[in-house]
Amino acid sequence: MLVTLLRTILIYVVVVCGLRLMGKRQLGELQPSELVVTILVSDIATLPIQDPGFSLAGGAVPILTLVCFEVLLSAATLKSRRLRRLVSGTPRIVIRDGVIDQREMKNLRYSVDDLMELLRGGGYFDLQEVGYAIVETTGKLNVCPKAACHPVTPQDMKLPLSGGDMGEFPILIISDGRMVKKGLEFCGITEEWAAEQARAHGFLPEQLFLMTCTQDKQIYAVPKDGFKESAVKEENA
Amino acid sequence: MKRVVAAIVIMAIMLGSGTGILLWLHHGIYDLLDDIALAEQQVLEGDYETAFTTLDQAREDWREDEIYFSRLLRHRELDTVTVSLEALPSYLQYRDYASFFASTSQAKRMILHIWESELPSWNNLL
Repeated sequence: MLVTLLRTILIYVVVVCGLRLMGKRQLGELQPSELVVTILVSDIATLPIQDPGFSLAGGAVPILTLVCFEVLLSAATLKSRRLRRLVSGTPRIVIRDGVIDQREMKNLRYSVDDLMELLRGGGYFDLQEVGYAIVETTGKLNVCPKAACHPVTPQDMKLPLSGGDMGEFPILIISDGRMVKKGLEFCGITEEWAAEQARAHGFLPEQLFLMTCTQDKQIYAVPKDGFKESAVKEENA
Repeated sequence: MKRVVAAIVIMAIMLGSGTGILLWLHHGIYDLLDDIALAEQQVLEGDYETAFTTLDQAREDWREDEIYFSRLLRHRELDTVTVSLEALPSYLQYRDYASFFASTSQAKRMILHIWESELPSWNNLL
């Protein structure tokens, strides 16, 4: 059992180092260490399933070891910036002030085609619109457009915002006929008030498929199938 | 923070139980090896009746241990030991000493292999 545990840690370190060596091009949304755990866990989990001669503990121990090691490593990276850089790497700026950093592109082994593809994926078809483009540690490209190309916001137009600075963010307060306590707490309302609002829309709370409420108490209700088909939006300021 | 504590606890449990299992395995394995060596000695001395009794006891102990060993160890090696041990009384009954000693050697080697493969040694790790 100790051999399994220690071998698992060794394999984990080897695979993390290997993926770090492979670079960001090979990674998706996951951090390198998370990707390693995902790959290894999915592979190890099949062993005791496929081979009856393989003890269950022989499958569970490495999986638990990997998960625990990942949690401990992520906790350690929170404390140590150096360790975080070692395990996850650092974000890299590939476009700075609208100029492509060709050296960084070479380091990341990004071709122009790769970069253009990722920019197009982010909705930027013209390179001249891009102020900064950063390759995150997950391998994702984030783009900050030039000031002149920023989308117009209500603030630019000096428009009054409904729902205050935070805007209208609907929170689920009834889900499948049941009150969602966290939603009620978030909106600062009681179950009685929510039930009253449901009745005001012509339904009992248990007859609703969903009901949402915004910070300024705007209600949106959808009844369950079989009840009167009417989704009502009403202001109850 | 809860996850970190849980991870530390799980790791500690696994390390502790891993060490405990190693000690328990050592006890079971070396008891069995001693029994087999004793049976071999008794056969060499011509004391077949006592050798039968020793082997019966060894097989009984192994059956009890195997139930727990099979939950933690690879089953193939355990099965090889079981098969070798089960053959021993028949060899003894029909006075087939060559096969008897071949079978005890195979059982001992496999038992030692089980023990050695569980040790956290460099040979096993690398």
